[in-house]
Amino acid sequence: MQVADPKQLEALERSASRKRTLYRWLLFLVLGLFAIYYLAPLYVMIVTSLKSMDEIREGNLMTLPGEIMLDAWKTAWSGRGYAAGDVFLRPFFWNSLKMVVPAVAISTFFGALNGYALTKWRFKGDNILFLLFLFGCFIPYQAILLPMARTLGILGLSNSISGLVLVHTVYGLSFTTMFFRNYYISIPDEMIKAARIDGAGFFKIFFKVLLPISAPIIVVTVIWQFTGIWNDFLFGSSFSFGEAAPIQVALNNMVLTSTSVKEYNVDMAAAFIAGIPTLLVYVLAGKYFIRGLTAGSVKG
Amino acid sequence: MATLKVSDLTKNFGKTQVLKQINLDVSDGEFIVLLGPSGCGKSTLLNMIAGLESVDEGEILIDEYVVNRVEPKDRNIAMVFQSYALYPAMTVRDNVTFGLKQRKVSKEKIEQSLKHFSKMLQIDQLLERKPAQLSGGQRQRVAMGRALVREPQIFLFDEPLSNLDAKLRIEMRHEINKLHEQLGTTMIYVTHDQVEAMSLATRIAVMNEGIIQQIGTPQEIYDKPNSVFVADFIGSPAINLIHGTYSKNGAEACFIPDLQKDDFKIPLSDYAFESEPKDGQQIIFGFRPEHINLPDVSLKSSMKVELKPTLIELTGYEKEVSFEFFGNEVTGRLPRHIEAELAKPISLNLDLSEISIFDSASTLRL
Amino acid sequence: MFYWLQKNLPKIVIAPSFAVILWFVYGFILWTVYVSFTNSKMLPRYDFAGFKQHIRLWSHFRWYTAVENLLIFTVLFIGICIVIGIILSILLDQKIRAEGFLRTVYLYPMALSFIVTGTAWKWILNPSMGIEKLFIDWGFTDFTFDWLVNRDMSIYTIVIAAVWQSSGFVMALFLAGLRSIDDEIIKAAKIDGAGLYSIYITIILPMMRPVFMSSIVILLHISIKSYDLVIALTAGGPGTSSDMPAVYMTQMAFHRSEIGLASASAVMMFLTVLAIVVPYLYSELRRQDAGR
Repeated sequence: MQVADPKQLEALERSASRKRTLYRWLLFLVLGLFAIYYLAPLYVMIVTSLKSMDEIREGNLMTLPGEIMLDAWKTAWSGRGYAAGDVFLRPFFWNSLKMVVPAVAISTFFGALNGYALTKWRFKGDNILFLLFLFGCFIPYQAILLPMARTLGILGLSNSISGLVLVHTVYGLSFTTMFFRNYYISIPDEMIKAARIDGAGFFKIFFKVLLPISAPIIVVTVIWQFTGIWNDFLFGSSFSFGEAAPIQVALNNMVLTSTSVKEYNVDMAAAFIAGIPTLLVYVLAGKYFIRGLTAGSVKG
Repeated sequence: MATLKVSDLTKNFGKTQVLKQINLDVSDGEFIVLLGPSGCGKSTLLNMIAGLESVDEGEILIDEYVVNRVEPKDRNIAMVFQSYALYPAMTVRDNVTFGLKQRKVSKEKIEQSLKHFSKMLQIDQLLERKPAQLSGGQRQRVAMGRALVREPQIFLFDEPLSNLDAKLRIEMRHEINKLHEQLGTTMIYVTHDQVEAMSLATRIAVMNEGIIQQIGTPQEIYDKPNSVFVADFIGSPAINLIHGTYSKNGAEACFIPDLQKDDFKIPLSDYAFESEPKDGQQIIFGFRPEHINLPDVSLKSSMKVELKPTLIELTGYEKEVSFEFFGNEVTGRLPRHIEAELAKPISLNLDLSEISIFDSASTLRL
Repeated sequence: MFYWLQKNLPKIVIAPSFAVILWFVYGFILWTVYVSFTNSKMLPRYDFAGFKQHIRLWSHFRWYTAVENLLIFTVLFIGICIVIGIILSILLDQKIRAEGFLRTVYLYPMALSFIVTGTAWKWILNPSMGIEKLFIDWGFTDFTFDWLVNRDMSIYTIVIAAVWQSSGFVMALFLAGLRSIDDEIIKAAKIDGAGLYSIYITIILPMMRPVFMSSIVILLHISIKSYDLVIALTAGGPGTSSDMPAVYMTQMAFHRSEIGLASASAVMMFLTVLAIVVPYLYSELRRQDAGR
């Protein structure tokens, strides 16, 4: 190829840079439009929750509230004060919290232990065992819904927080085991060998050597489990009702049971309240949230 | 201080046999290097000696005691790993003393050993750091320190230097050598680097495909390799191997290369056969690059040859020259001042006193 | 004894979890499969009734609606999510200054529950006060949007909300895949004179095959299990026009006292997932073994 003369080169350069600027603008335009698409529902939720019903009827989705009203939020959180037929989120929010904390803690702990035993103390059939665990991540829960309801009944745990803790712990085990197994498999076996020669046993190695370096995967697993259990509706609606229900079930009931007039502002405030904990986790620890989502699907 | 005996040791991973009836006798204070290509089973053997892999068949004895079912921590061994295997969450101090703490050694004793050995390894300034804050060489020293404070009966090394750069590797090699001299402890060292093996070992065990091919002093292994594999594996550039026929006519024995021209043959009358081949048997004739000399070097038993250079490489203090030799390419190590030119024959002197002859069929030394 | 204990400690530690999985996953699935072959109505009965429930299931018009809806939903949901995911990931991969912020924005819906998502979209798609009114206010006076209460269109509202919730996730998967590609390949292609467009079409996207695979499997999985979103957005309505198999199953199980029929539908869902996941896991494992 021949090198063009300086004038030609200059022209080439100029047209290239013009093209680049154009592309850049186009790029930002498309990305910006998508950002609006994703943000619009959130905007609508917030704006609606701050309006009065009259304002909602007069304006449209996008109009800003004339004056900020927190009444809908109060109603959503602590009710209107009637004795009957008044659904509000406060008790159910605590229900969900009481369900999430033990379920996440127990399933994460056992997942870590399983992952450790499966990767650092290989035994015959350990891969098959892992596969059997892994399969639990994929089953449609409809296939276990009926026997689970029966079992909870037999155990006397129907319609109770403890029952939901049990369910979420059991079906979380597959995920937590998978997370920890995939993390520990990348930690060199030599470290465990060295600790064994140093005289540490199974549990000592786990607690002293492995757990102190597991912070990232613990965060990923806790976030995954927290989000999954907090957002669960199927188990909550199948195994609980009334006072023992978790927040998602309560939210759905609230939206469905319109006493007389639909109060969209209250619905939106309630939806927002139900979403706050997971949104907060996402904003504070988004990196780990994404890592959890992509774990096992990209790295294989 | 301890002896180690391995007898008829066998290990299977699934259907593949990675160790096939290994026998090894290590006397007190020896420095044994297990040398071989990757996948030869050397690391598995070391892990079994450490107790990190179970024994399928055979026995391992430390000081005459069978230790097959003894836990690693109770074998009184220490091990240095390729990746160093330092505990990332612990400081250097905790890393080094972890093993002693597990053994409930008294605080004063721990402090004393830590002081002594960290000074010896020049890591006494690094005790409060975490492994991530150390350079490769420093990590290596900490890993050594962790093994040393334990004052074990046997030291095991699993390719401890292969993650270091060339200069540090030589430096640490010298230190390990000095350590062995100072402590006199039995050491078993796995590597695929023949220079490390040559310079450290009192004896080298060359392994291939789950078998110890040859065990002997570095000198024996280099000068009298017992098989084509050992001959070819040891030495850089590699030994020159020429296929041909053994011919015996009365008292005159000689080697006739395949594809030779003009009745070319190499006399073998001075070669001390371990078992003499029959006339007409296919053999392999091996000589090392340094056994091609300039004609002015006087030798006990030699032969003049004229060879055409096909490639000339200056390595620094010498020249590695490849020659055409009846369809084979052979390499010679010649002084840097020779004036060799491509395709221009030079007359050379082939040293016949240190050649090796192998049987073509069995590839064993004759 | 001590030696045995020590040697088997890892197995002993795993045993309780494994027993739980064995019972609660595999045992329960077997139970469900068995019950699908019985006459169970309100309470499970263990008399064998052959394929009766399965035949009933496959002659139930509601089940056909559910399966048909699942097919429509799956194709659209996966197709749109992947297209959006690819576009966004490629655009984000152009060394954008605000990448971190934009990524956060695109992915946050994934942190919300389907119930929250459904509640929000139910309001946005509200036939008289939602998006319809917005467009009328903006001057499109004869704009109508009644999909939520339109029997023929209700299933598409679920697609809209599901895409909004999950497409960011596909973007994250593809972005991670793009980032794992060796820079040198792109440099080599640039020097070879390939434009950015053809680099992506001919070199990079074909390398994303595993990401395509896992995205499709995960999205398929989401769509087969989709329950919450339907309940929150349309509750299967109007009528049963936006039913999905998961909704059908819980309806039969908890509201119609048709345990046998519910089990039969659960078995169908389970078999579908099995047909997708087993080959996927198998190929993933082969890939891992090859990489080892």
